[in-house]
Amino acid sequence: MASTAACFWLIDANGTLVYLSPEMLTWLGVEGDVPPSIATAITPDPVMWTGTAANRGHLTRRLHIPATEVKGNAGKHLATEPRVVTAHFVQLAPLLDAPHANDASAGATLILGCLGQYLPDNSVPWSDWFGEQGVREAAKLDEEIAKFRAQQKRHATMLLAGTSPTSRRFRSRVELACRIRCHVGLTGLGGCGAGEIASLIHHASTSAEPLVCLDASLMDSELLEVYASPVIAELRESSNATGTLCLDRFDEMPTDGQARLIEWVETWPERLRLIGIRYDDTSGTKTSLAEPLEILMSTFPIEIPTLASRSADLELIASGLTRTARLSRETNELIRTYPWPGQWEELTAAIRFAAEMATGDRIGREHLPLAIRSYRVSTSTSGQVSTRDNEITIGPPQPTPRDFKLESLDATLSEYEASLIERAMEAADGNKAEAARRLGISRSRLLRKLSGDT
Amino acid sequence: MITPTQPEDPTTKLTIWWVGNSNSPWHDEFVRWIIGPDSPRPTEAKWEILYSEDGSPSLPRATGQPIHSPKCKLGIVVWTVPSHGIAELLKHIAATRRTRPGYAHVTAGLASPAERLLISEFGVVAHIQHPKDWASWSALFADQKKTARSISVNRNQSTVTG
Repeated sequence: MASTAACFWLIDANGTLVYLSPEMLTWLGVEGDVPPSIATAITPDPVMWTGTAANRGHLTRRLHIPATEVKGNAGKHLATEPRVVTAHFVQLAPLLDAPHANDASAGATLILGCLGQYLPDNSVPWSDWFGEQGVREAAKLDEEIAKFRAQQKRHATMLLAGTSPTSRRFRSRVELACRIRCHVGLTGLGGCGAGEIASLIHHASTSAEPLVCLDASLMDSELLEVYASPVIAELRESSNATGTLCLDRFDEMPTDGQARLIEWVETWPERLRLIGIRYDDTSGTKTSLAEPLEILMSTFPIEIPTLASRSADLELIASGLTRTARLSRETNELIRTYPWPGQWEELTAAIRFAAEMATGDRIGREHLPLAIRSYRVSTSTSGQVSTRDNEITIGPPQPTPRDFKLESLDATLSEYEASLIERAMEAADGNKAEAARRLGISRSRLLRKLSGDT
Repeated sequence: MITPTQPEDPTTKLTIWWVGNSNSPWHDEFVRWIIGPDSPRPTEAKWEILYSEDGSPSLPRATGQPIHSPKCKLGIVVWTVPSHGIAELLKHIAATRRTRPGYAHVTAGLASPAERLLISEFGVVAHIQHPKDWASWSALFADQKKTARSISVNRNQSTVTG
């Protein structure tokens, strides 16, 4: 209330001023207590309210504000001129279903007063809203929304495309989520296209219900209350209404925001649906999810696989994204081998860039962004570089099954046998008969092996 | 033809594109907020506002290092909500998000609850309904970790530094 620029004030049932907005105090030129003459001028006489049933508790009155003295910069007292101004008053009845309805203070009627003129009728843009222009604007808006949703759906379908086992599993999971209405937890790397998948799931499962998409990391309880209001107000007003909140960066949500969300989910367990998006690579600022929200996110978890794990499908996905142009063999090869650290967003941006750069109907390697077209598969085994946010780590390469090689099987087996005999001799304190027992061979065979005779 | 990248100013931390009418209380309050004592701007940092009156900002394309983290935004685009309707605005936002990924989008101006619902669906992270609401979003402005090497700024537009 203090941040508003409106001049308004509150009067209790006894006719006492209980609140004046800072803007109103400035307008009156008053610091501290309001002089009685001004208080009387801005308080409507109770008689005015009698016989106002037709006004449904509203009054418009012309107020005569008397002259006041205000302090100037040099400490001089300046007198303001008496002023005449239009004010509106509304009687605020107590809420019957308020949590403290039995409390005497909660049941008191308040009067809200505010300054301001009604807009003349010709200043209200009626034709913009309801005339030809308004209708045209509404039709254009519908068209834009339909176009946007169709494009999002097409992109999400492309993201789900592929014949590899990873892609099949991912697609079947999303298709199932599209058929049922439940809380969904999406996880993946940054730029993985989770927003498009969330939109697809929402519009396929419950297209009629309102959807609010929020960046949860910015949502403390106050902001959440304001920005989720298109859904929450519907839930409060109608017992049949349903709604969905799509919360990006859900695991970074401030704790007071989480607490408010838990209240809502407990109040409307069936009617409020959450689609949470969490990223695996946002380290440092995570505030772990509260247990009730963690449980909701595990109702239907979907892990979005990395593009690197779907390299066999990338050619199909990329050709689906280009539509009008054809990808050259070299481009397809590069798309398959490039690791795509920026995931889906990087792939779509690269294909769009290449389509813009290509003059004909063929997209070559040279049309891709520099960072991608200059990528070479590393054959070096001297070290491994891993990048995580702003940290770069250099270490020995991880051995892969393809790296396996022995100089000589016999030499390796002999070394291993000698090490076992040495351990057995140590365990038996040099007693050869005991060492032979521990090795499960005869004493004479052990002696032959110790003498180097195989 | 290869255009040389202009040298980056190491003190520039955040670029804000103001798209649409800048002669509004939302703009005045925004500037007052970022140069005032409650500003989320670190004292040594220089922020710049680039203006685009025609409805479509010329945002530099992210080149080089890909955007790994959702927190790593290249800049903030503030779109003013026109009084005659939001169809054209949503069209421009959708096109910009599609062709220039990596930016945070904010709208400022009066919008109905139904319009705000659509604005959020189009990927706008914050909507400023009242000129004095800027301070509520200080986390968004303080959150930006722009990597200077991945951006080259078009200096042809007018610049205001706070």
